Amino acid sequence: MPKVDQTADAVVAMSEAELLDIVRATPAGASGGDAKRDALEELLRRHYDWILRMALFQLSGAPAAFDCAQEVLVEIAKGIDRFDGRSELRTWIFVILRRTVWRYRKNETLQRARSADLEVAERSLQAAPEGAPDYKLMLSEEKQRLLKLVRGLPEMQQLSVLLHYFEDLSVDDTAKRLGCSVGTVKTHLFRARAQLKKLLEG
Amino acid sequence: MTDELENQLRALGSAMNGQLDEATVRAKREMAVQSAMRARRTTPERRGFEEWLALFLSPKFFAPAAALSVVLLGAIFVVDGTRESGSVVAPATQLASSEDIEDELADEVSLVGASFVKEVEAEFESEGEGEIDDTFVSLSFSEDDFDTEEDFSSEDGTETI
Repeated sequence: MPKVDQTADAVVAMSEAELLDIVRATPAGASGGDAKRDALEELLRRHYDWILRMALFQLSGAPAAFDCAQEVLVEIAKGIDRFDGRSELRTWIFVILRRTVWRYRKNETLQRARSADLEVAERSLQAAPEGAPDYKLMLSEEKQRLLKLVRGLPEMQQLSVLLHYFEDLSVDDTAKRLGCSVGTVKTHLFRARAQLKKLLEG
Repeated sequence: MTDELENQLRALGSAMNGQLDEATVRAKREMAVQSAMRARRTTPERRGFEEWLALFLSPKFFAPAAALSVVLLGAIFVVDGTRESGSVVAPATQLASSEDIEDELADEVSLVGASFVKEVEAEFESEGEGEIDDTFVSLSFSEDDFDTEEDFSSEDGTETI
């Protein structure tokens, strides 16, 4: 286990593998408890941005995306001791993210179904988030339409598109993140493109 | 069209990545990290099987559990024993006082004792005088084991067993 300097700079300079070693190797309450806390905080900070982006792509507004990202970080912090390292950390986090996003989308769907006022429901989908820019204004109409179509794809196709095109991952890395084969990812991308093409032309 | 679509998708990804205000993201990030660390501190630690076994066998848990088991087993035996001899005791609704209970118990015992004595006496009478020796001897010996009656005599010859 690497010796941990308590300064913030030292923790920031460490690689993800080193941080993970500290988090997994140090038992709670031991003398290295501060080092474990600092290492875990740094890990959470490093992964927050891409978690937030993925939540933003899939949910209807920034408030939901911020809440979702926070909830994912809570689940990571509570469950990191059970992470056994058999998969990559990002893959493990991605599973938590998918589960959390699915729950948020389910709630959104239920809220829309309950809403008697269709205009209110439609506006809520495009609502400007609190304290953050209005996406409707900063995205062109064409991009907004494409985003809406991507959000309407089946889950695995949508995730493949998000990871490959939005996060700019290779097909191999996308497959690793999704926990499936390269061939499966290629199939999802092919079908997603075919569906989007059909909807854009129609 | 496929290449054009791919370009559109990548452009959309870039546009989305630049949407959020950096200061807002930084603030939300710190809030999320602190919230996660707080939740971690307040969440009880999940125990695996070995931890549960160690907890069960630890003195502070095992001793009270063992004591409680002994008490419960003892209570079961007492209740079971009471139920077996329950025919001697009359139903609670019929008992007037403890004296009545004692009287009834004494009657039952005396009846049992009296019938047993009669039974034994009857058996002795049917066996005939002196044959009681054979009756008791036959339990462990046969007549052939002994040649004469003297074998059953006491040492001074005054009595025959």
